[in-house]
Amino acid sequence: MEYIFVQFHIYYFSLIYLLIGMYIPDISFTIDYLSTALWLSALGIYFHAISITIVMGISPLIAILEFIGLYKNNDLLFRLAKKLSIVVVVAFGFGAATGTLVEFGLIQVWNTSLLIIASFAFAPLFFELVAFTLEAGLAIALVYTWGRFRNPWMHWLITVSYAFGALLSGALITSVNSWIQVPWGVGDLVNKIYPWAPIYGPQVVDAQALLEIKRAALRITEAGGVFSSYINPDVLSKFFGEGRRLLYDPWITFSSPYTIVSIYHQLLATFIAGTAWVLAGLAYKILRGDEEYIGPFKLVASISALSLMIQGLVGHEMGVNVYKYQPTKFALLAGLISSGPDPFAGLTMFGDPNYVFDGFDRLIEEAARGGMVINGVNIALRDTMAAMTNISIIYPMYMTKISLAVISGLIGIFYLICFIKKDFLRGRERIQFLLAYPYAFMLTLVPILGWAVREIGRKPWTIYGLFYPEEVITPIPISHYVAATIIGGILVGIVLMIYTIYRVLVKPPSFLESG
Amino acid sequence: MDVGLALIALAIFLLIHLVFVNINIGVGLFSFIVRVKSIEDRGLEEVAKKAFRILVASEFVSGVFGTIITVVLAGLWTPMVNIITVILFFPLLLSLIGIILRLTSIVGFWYTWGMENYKLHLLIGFIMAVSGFMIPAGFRYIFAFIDYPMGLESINPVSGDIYKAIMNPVYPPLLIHTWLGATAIGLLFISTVFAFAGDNKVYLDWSRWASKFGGLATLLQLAIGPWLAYTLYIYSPYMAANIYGVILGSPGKIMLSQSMFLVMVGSGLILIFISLLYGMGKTSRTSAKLLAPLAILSLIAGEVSHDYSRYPYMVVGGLDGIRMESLLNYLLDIDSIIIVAGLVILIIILLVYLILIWYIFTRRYI
Repeated sequence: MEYIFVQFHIYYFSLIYLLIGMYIPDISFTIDYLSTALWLSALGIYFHAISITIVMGISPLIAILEFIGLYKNNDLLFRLAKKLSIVVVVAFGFGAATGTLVEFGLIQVWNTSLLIIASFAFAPLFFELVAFTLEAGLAIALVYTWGRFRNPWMHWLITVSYAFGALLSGALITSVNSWIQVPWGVGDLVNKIYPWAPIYGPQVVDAQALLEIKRAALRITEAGGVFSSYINPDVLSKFFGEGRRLLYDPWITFSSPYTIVSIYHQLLATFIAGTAWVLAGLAYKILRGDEEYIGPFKLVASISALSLMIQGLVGHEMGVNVYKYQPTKFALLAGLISSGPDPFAGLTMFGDPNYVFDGFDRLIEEAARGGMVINGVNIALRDTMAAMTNISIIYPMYMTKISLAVISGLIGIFYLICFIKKDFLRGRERIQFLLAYPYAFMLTLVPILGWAVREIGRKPWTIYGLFYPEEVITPIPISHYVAATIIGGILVGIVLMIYTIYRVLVKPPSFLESG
Repeated sequence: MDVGLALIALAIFLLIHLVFVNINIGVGLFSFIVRVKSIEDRGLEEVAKKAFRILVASEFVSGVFGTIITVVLAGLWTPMVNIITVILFFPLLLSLIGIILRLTSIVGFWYTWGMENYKLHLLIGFIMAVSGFMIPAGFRYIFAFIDYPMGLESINPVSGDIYKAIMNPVYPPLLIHTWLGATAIGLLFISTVFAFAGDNKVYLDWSRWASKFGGLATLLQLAIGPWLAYTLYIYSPYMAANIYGVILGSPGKIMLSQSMFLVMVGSGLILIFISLLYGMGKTSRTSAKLLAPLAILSLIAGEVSHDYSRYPYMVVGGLDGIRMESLLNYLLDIDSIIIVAGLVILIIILLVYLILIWYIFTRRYI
């Protein structure tokens, strides 16, 4: 009986195996899966960014519109806020789907990131659960309780709470990303490997254990192995246990100055992009003859333009932090193969246009002189030179981003002048609406380029100065089939999202109209 | 990190997640079936829509708690997650595809209701209903794997045969059991809700329909039970002894698993009896009040019985296994108060949400 039972399983599974054999990767058919995985992750994050920009960028705007609508008894603003709330909730649904993709991508494809999730990122991610739960819990109430309360300010409280949840969620995720940009809490550990690196806050890690892990990772990957296979109870118990821990302060991520500036910078960027998209939508309506939207247009344009001015200051602080904590990235941004002045950065940062910034020549010199040699290789020298190879990508990308941001800023100033000086356009008001299109387009490109600069700029490391992508990747090769499935899933999701948003804006179902 | 607290946190989040996931899967199927029927009888569209609204409300909970489980697993049970992501890469990918399809099709189905092209709406609804079943099709591999770690060849370094892992013999009965259970729970839940959705006879008729088919699914689940039991007996005798020991006359060490198994079977039998009688119109709608609570009780009892039977191991291999504490996160000391506070806050938010949803539904806002 037992024999028959076991044989049955074997035959049964042989059939399943044959059926799904097409999908299972043939190892010989796999391509360079590290670069495939990097591209897939970038694609997943960018598509996720579309929905989170709508949710995080537009939900605070809804709170502002609803507030003014209630305060001034302006029905138009109220209706606009309601319509936008439907768009936000649709995007939230799709964002949850693409967010799951990004989450699984992190855990499945980049296994070693588990070490970070279980240490430095634990507190932010755990609190992000609360923010996400708050956001999800209020999403339905946000849409379906419009006009249902005796006191309409009750609904406004729901909107504000929802926006708070969305922004908190974004802030906490940004803090995790900021830690992999600047590994705050490792003290002088990175500096011991790379002499040009600064001190990353107090040392709240077991530096010896982390260094041993780094050495082991290098040894394994250079021998052709995959390091993530060693995150197992046997290995971890050798490093940790009996009171020995990797991290002694779970809150350290929140005390990093880089994290704090990054949070302001990212949240403002999404808010500005969100307002710009709404502005383009309003301009479209106005240009098609719906002139009642001119008032909301002016309001949203003013909010957007003022936010852009503030972003200019925050962006400057961001640059200062990159200069302080990511020397190779700063050299990439400023295009400094050789040390020298950058008049604009020198003037704004030190009040001296002739201030000489360190370029790759000096970083390489320092690395050659005092870089750590692991397994017979000066990895500081090797990695600094590897970082420099990205200059042809990062420098033009960053310059394009800054140029577009400046042009957008000028359009923002133009809007403010138009609204303050009523007769400024003298009958040519159409210009301001037409300008909303390039404004929205540029303010979409700016965060896309900004994120690319942020992410590619920290290469060749995944965690700046500590781990490389090849030390973090899964041992399971990513085949063409897997890549095609994920890309297909993302594309189907995005097409469905855009179509659904289009439908609810252009022809909302009756239950939404009455809701 | 205290192993007990880590286990309780995982158990609470998992049980909340499973309750809502099972409701969702069954209700999604029900909504789609009624939507198909509504092509001939337009009046049924409102019935399908109402069921779908319930699905949307509970999907938020299951989705959020699914995310919570991922973070809890990665944060508290780090080495275990690494082993699973390596050995079960493809089953997890299957679930991931299912999640993406499910969430996007739910939003699509919701907002394209009322469009002229009903065939497209039905197609989206079909994807929505089927993708619900795809998600456990991947995740049940994890449960099958920790019952019987087929494919795992080495812990250090983590390595194994990812093809072999797909052929885990515990998986087919476990999955079919799960699918039938999800269908039953969803149908029985909707049956209870519709029995009290008003005096409209249409809702009462569909409540009886859902009860009848929910009862049949439970009956089938009961029939699959011996297959699952025998599979565990062969491949995971430690668990089999702990769950079925009382019946087999050789009780295992874990009384909780055995008693919960009896609760599951007992509640399941009562459920079959009540649901079929109500479904055939032999009893009044008052009896429908019992369907959803009994279905949820049966689910919780079954899940506790099955999962706790591995104790003190997290992964069972024959008569022993990998102990729970060796799969815990020792990278940092997580203050117990953080975990407890997180648990309490999340449960409070869940309760507030459920009250809010109840309020919105009873006021007929959606």
